Amino acid sequence: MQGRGSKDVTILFKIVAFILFSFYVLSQSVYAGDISLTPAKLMIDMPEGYKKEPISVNITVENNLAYDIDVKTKVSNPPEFELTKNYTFIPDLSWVKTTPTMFTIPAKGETVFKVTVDIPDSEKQHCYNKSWEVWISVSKIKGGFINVEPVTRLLIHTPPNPPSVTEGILKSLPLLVFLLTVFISIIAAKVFIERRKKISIYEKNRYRDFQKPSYTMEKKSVLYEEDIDKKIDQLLSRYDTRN
Amino acid sequence: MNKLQVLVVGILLIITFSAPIVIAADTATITITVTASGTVSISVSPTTWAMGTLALGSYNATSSTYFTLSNDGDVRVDTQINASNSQNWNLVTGTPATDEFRINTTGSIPLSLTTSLQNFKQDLDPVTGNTYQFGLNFTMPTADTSGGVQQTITVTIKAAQG
Repeated sequence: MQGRGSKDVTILFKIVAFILFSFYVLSQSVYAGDISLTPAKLMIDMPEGYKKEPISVNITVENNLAYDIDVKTKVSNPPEFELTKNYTFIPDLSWVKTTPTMFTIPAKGETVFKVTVDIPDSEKQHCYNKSWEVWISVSKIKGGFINVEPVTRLLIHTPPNPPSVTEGILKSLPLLVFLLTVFISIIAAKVFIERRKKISIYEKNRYRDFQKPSYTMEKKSVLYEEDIDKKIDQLLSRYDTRN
Repeated sequence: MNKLQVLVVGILLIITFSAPIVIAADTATITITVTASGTVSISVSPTTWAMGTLALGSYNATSSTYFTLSNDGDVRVDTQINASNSQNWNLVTGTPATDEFRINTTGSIPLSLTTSLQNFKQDLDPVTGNTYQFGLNFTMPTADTSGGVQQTITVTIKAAQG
């Protein structure tokens, strides 16, 4: 009887221990910060040059609370002591924008907002080989006495070098070839047409020449006879002189 | 060549030789690399502190372990802290005078808070010690010119991947 009683206590103890362990595991997995931001770090690289259009990336913000919360996004410079090594502040914070800037996240839900990096065309020429750090944070609009703001570190690497003329030519080679082909075709067509015109005029003239006697030839022959006469005269006069 | 032909050839020449410069300056087919990592999630508990009614020139302090800061994300974080001015009072780091107040943190990182961010708990690791406990000490102004209007003050803790 006593042995059976101790067995029951052991089983009961095991059940209680299992329940407590399960509760511990559940509480550990469920517990999370009020707001989570993903990713924690976002790196944008432009190794091949600037894009014509602005660059957009998404950040997910998760509400770990059991009720809806209204949040706002903020773009800011990091404190100087928190700047990542070899990074500097962006010259103008207005080049980075978030949309939307205020929104509601449902309880235990998530919302995605967009971060857009738009460097004005007029500034791009001054912004090569730069590494900038910008902070994107999210906070509750109606917070308590103490508020927490998770931050996404946005790291921007601008193109390493301005594009060289050679690089530009190489990149635009297909267009260049096309335009040159068009250009050469036009010139070739023009030359061909001009030549055809000239040939037809020449042919016409030649035909015309065949149809009439050559005045030049006649004139040449007249000239030739005159020469012979002159020569005979010269010989005769020489003969007379000897005799 | 007539005038129209000269014009067409001229335009083609301009396009041909200016195209490389235009394309070099702004290419539409370039690649942008975006690398993303980790989740940052931070919480503080409790978020309120019932100070009660305080007399001018007095102070109130929590225990040095009253607040618990927790890193609930999957990356190590550095935290920064600051506080706001209230409607009529200014935050100072020295001894408060009229319409001035002071907030200090207590615990292993004692700070006199300012409106600018200051380094707070560094390297809060999600695995090897994801919590940090601290307290606050609030010192009232010596005199108040607002006529006893209730003041709202906020303490903000930012957390970024360390």
